[in-house]
Amino acid sequence: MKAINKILLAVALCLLMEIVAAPIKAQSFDIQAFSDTTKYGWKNYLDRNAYREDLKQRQELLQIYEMEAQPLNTNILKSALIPGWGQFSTKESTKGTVILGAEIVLAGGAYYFMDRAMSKYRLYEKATQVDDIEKYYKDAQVPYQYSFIMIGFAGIIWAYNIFDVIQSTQDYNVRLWEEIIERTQRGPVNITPTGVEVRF
Amino acid sequence: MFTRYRLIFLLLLSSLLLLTGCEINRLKSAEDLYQKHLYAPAIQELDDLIANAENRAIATKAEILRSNSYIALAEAAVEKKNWPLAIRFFKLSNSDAANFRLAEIYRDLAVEASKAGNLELSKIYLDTIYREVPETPIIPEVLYRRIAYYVDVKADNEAAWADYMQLYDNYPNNPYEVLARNYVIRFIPGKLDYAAILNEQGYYTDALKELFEISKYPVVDMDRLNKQISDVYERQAEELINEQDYVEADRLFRIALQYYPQKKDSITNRLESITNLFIQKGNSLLEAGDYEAALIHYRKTFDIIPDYPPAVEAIKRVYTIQENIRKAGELFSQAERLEATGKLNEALQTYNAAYALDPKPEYKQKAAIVQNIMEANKNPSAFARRILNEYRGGILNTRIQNQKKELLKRYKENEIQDSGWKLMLSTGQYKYEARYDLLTPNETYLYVWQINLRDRSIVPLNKLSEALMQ
Repeated sequence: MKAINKILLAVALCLLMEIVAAPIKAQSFDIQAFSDTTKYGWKNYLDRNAYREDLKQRQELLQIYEMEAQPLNTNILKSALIPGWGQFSTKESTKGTVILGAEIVLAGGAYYFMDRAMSKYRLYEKATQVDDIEKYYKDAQVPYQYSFIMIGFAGIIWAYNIFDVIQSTQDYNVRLWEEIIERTQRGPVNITPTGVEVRF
Repeated sequence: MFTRYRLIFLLLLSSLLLLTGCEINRLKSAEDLYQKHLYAPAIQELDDLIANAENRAIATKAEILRSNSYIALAEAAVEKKNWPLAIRFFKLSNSDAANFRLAEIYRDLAVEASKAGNLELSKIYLDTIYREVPETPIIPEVLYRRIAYYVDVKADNEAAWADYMQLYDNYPNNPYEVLARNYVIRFIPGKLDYAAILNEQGYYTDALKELFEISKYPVVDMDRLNKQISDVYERQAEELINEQDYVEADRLFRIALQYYPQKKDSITNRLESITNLFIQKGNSLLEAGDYEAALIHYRKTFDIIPDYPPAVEAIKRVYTIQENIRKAGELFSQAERLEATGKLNEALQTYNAAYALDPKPEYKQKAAIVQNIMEANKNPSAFARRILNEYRGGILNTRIQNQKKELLKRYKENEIQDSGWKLMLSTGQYKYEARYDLLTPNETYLYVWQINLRDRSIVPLNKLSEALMQ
């Protein structure tokens, strides 16, 4: 609960800073500085040409990126439905396995304890003696609490799973772009540790 | 209770999304600003995103969007005719589309400056387009305007020609290229005159380079140009005739004829005269013993006059000479074999026959040696004596007698002992030693030589004999 409060506080602070900073930014707008043609480090037309060529190349690579990138929303949905699924999509198999395994164990455990609690509870409902009533009620309470604790842990892991899939997807996409750039910079024929690689 | 949990869960989820997915959200936010035509805030948002984005693919998308935002701002500046601001925004946009628009603005400014009479400023704008946006579609117009400037204002024909070549090479038959021809045609005669001067001064390669370069462009009277090219080749051919390189001269005359067929009569006459020159050159090569080169020259005449009789005769003569040489070689070998077997008389005849077919000094020398050997075999001492007597017109006898006369001045005749010629065998075959002694009471003159009967050579064997021979 404390952690949630901290996160909410951080979000609120960010929003506040944006609200406060926006008018300051607006007040300090300088058209000369804004339209300064050297502000991006292009000293002359040669620098501009070099940048333009680079951007054009990267723009072409964006098409490959769009085809190969993992969509964030899809991965969130996948992990929301089956925890760890999104991580598998981003090639984080270990993490996905751990999350999925933990969720299965916790959900299974919660079901087991709930089942035990419910069987005791049914005995409690059927009991007619005061001693039996008290005994069965106590017996039903402990597994019932365990079941809830496990559900709680399962919920925390589920939430972490959602948080993690967002990070994993972003990291995957960052790596993917770097890999695409590296792939293009390499020639069509490369010597790799596994042999000669020829790209057509 | 359930509602409270659900609220907490949703808050948690949205916070997570806000915290972690901010790069995409910021790009979307900038896109929203762009859609709402709030370009300046969009650019500021994008600048920040580009500087800090971890995912460079998103940064690249942001850069493209920023470029589009600057274009939108630049177009707004164009609408307000705020050219400096529009130029700056187009430069900041830094895309192909922005560059083309930038070139158009420079072009408009150049035209305005030209109309206002500020031709230098107009030229600066044109140069800027050419330098900074060489891929713009308005380059033909830019080049055309520069050509007009170079011709009308600067009278710099070379610069105008360089621009025109660029224009035609890249945009042939473009309307501006067609217009530019009117300027170029004005200075082409000067270039042709320059080529003619180069030709006259013997710079044929430079002249041809100039003429061939002009020939690629539709700004010249091709008849005149071809005649000039033909003139260069003809002049070169004449020079080669002087250098007696008739084969190359013939080739160049033919090229000259191809370029300007109207010269057919004069060049044909000249080619016919070359046939005689070919024969003369062939004859001199034949004398020098270069039979293959001589044949090439004789045969070359057939390209000009088929079956040219003097050439046919000359070729026959070459073949005969070659056959004689071959036969002489065979006879020489045969003579050597005869000589080795001791048939000297037959060997001598065969050597002489070989010499008659091919007057090689080697054959003559061998014949002489065999003759000497024959004489040496008959009577060696008489032959040796004859060699001594005939040596340089009898110089040895004369000088010995002179020496004796000198001694007679100082001594009485009976005091001088004259041994006369004494001939004896020397070491080695066909070698004789000749001695002549003049003895007085006080002085002694002992002459001695070795005579080689094979080659009639005489070698002094002491200093006194050597001095007598000098």
